Amino acid sequence: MEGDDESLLAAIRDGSDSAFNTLIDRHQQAVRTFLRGLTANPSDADDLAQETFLAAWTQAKSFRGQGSVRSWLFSIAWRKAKGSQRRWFRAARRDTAYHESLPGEGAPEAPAEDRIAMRQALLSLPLDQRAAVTLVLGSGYTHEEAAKMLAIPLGTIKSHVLRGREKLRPILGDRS
Amino acid sequence: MSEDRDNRLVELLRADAPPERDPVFRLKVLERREQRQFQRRLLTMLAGMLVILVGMGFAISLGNGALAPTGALIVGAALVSGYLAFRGQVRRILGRFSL
Repeated sequence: MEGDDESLLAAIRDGSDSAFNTLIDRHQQAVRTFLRGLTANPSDADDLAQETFLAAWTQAKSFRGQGSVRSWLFSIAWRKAKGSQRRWFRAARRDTAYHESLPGEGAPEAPAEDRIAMRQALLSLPLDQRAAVTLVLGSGYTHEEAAKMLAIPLGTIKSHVLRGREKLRPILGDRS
Repeated sequence: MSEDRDNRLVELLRADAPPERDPVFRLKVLERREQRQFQRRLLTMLAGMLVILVGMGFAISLGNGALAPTGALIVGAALVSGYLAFRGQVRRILGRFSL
């Protein structure tokens, strides 16, 4: 099933499975990438991403069309992420090193040690800052879009991105 | 130099991106949705059964057992209602055992 995202959501509201499948296929990479930037390991991120799409299925009627469907999905993912924050911190200490040693599917050209260093540096940032950096630097959203998705004031987003970038740059060292 | 670093930063931030096409992920979402729907139906059914049992026990206790046939009627009605509500699933399950 093709069509724009708003039509997909309208079909989902009517119970269309094929529209739901298309929505997942179209946005899973973006949502999972965002959540992987926030969590300690990819399996936590994928778990939250699954919950995000389930929420989209049940809450399709709540979409008001004020932003894009992807922004709406990111807002749901962000709320899920904040709700699970405490659980991650317990799990993160336990298995971060193991999961980070696994190869990523997206960019095999990035050396493992760089990815591990990046992940550790990201995890050292406060959650809000991490989300802002992931959205603006990682996914290419504007500060305004990120502010809307995260429901954080624009000035705070700008400051989060600036500080986050400053903290992440040193991990690049002489390799860049 | 600064731009190179920023580009490298972006590249590393995207390094953990999952594949663009991932049918396994979609299947996991659909499976989870099925599980949730099944759990919800099951809970509804159990709650309904509980209400019927309590109502039946109360009805029977009113007449020192004289209302036992009424109880049987209520159970029968509950079974018929249950079948009508879940006939799709019942047929699907029974279909697995047919030759």
